Amino acid sequence: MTNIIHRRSRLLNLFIWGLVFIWIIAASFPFFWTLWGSFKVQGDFFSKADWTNAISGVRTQIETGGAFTGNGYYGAWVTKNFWLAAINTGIIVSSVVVISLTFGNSWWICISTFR
Amino acid sequence: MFLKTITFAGAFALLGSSAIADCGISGGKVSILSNDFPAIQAVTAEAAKCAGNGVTVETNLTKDHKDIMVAALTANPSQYSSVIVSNSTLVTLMNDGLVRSLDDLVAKHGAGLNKSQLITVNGKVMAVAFMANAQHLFTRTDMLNKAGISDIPGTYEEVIAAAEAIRSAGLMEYPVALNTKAGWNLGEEFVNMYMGTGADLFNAGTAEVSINNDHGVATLNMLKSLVAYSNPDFLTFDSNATQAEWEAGNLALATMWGSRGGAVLDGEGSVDGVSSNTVLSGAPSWGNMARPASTLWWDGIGISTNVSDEDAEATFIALMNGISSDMVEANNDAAVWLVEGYKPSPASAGVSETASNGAAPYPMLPFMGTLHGALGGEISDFLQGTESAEQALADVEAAYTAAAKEKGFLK
Amino acid sequence: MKNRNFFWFILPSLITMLLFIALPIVSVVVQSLHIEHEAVLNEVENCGPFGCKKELIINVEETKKLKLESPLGQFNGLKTYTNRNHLAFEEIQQSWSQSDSISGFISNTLNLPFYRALAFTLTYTFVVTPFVLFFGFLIALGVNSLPKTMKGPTIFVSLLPMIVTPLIGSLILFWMIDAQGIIGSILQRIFDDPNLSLKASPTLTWVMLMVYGIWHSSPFAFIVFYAGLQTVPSDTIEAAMIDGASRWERTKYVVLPHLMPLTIFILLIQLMDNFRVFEPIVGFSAQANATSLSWIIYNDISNNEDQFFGSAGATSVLTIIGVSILLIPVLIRTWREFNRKVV
Repeated sequence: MTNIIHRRSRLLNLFIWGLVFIWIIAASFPFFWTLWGSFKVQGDFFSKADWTNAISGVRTQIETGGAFTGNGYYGAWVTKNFWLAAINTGIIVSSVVVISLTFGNSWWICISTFR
Repeated sequence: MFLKTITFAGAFALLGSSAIADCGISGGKVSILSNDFPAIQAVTAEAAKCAGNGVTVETNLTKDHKDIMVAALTANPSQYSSVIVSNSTLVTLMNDGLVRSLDDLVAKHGAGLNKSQLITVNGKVMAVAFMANAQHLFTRTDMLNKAGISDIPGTYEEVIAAAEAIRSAGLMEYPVALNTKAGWNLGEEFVNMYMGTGADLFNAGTAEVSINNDHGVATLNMLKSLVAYSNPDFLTFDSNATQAEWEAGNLALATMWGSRGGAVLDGEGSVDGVSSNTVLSGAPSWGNMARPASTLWWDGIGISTNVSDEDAEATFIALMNGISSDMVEANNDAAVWLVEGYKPSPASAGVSETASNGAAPYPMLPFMGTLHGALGGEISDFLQGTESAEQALADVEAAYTAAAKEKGFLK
Repeated sequence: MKNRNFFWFILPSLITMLLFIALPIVSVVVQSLHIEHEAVLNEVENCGPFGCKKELIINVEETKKLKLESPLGQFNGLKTYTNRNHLAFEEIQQSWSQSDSISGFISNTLNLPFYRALAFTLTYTFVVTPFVLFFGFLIALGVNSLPKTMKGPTIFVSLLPMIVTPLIGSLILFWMIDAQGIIGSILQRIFDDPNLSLKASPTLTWVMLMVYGIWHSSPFAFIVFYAGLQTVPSDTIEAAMIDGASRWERTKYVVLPHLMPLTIFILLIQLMDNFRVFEPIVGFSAQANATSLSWIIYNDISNNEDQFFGSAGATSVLTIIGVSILLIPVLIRTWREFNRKVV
């Protein structure tokens, strides 16, 4: 009996897998695209001439002699002081989480105990 | 200059082979807040060489300097002893009395300055300008030649004719671009174009706006004719986007800031054949007027009110060093310098031509920013074809009036 | 717990809420009732690299004196709320008497900045929220039916649009949908229209912003519904199966009612969040075609050369009122359920 209950029609299976697959692509593709493009130079990833340059890395090859480059990461981390922003964010995030959880918890405990 | 040479020689004699640059400052704290682009980097780097011997030099170069300057200079003592100001930012700082008069400092240390570098308000020197900027025309001469046009357009009517020729020849569908991103950029394009009519934006001596007239309508219509030859996304084009489109070879005629000239001409990041065929020329005029349809902007030195006189003097001397003729010689192509010893180059041809053709400076009025904001917000509807020109101008005037009342400029 | 102990226990939270929530709101309301002092202007001659000109400047000493006397500015009462940049009573009256048709009146109203922003904000809220609920539920059901090994990675990937900062997410999509970007080019190919540009027309911009909103907020609904699906009582499901309920009937009569409290919760959060839409407009540079209430507040105070605190304050208060109105039905329902439970 359990076999009959838990068997799904093939159509439904297809529908579920199809939906999940489309959603995974929609959710992750922009970030995957950006990750890929982060290893190319600006002229490729933001190429106004041909968007496939971001895949083939034409200008990256010309400007840095390789298919991929870490120049973007160096530029962001060092030149544009991202390491400073990261530290600042870390401080703010941990402080806000600790403080809000402290006050939030005490408030919620009161409400539930009092009620 | 002579005094400085003596001081230098004396200092070197005393210090032997010491390499510390002694700018003749006895001591003090110098801190500079400014925008971030190559010309200013050169100035502040040169000023920073004055550090040592009791003088400290700090610099903060950020494109968000406008966001922090009012708060930073209101503090007492001020967080920065000087700000690199422009037409509009000086007005903002003067509105709150945050920059001091430079009359005495110029008299003491400003011997090498051109008279044209002194920004005087009500007879008092409030800033010392060192570079000029303006929006002007960039042209792809190879595209013009292919379309059968031999001369670089001198009026916007000629620009439109050239664009039509390029389009009919099948070379480019959208050859024209201006910095038309909705907001400050779009407002600036309207102001520039309106200046070409020679009319005033406000009723003389008052804060009442007067652009809902024939001049305003003609200005809007000219802008509309130009964006008809622009990429349909033109309302998202700020100066970075326009430069990117230019370097990708998608444009033939564009109005861009002169400060972009060096970056566009150096060929870095451009498709082959773009920078070698790019020519910078003065901003076009239109409507049979002689005045170019552009506004002149200057960048200069302002010293804060809320610092000690010793720091103010040290800062002034350091920055005088920063804008010395030697620095200009070493960085000739970085900007259109107003300092002695500057030699015009192809990258600066546009701004020089615009200035010599008689373009007006951007108005330094306290309520200009309010009008600029109202323009940037209300004329995009007209450019998209959903509103008439008169309606758009009426909207701008109404938005400005409401905002000006809130700021106290109108009752 | 005795009342006195209760009071001392919540005192820190009360003080924090007073300081960080109540007082700022009071300050904003007070600010919205004032405008700047009348500017004292003098005519002077300005000289610069490009010649001399007679222009007006602000008399700093007089202005400082006025500011010292009353730092808040001039009291303006509710006039800031009724001026053109907000509820625009005068302009609406004028347009009502002058326009000959309802559509003319509506288009005149939508020309006013506040109503234009309100129109987009409401459309965004009422389109994105139901879609988010629908897609979130669908994805939760789908992921729930996956084999165990695949559930973990799928959940992680599904949460990505929500985890990444809205501004970054919208910028990434902005670059991709550009007419010369990957999605823009592919769309042009699909619709066989080389001039198709998502950024050009107001309609397409609105659609794009709403698609972004759904993409960004669905993971939130998904994760809440997914958690809820784990708590569906299995005996009720089995009883339904024994009674011969189809898969669809099981979902409709067992799962959905069980998830109703969670749905209300997500609805509340989404209504509030979507009403505050702001980052996509900045990320997509869409302010020519779409503005929102949060965006016009930002626009009033973001230009540090020229800030309008009174105007921003008035729009903020109107936004708070708007959110309260939106949430009334949900709050009434929650209040009724709460009372029912007590009984």
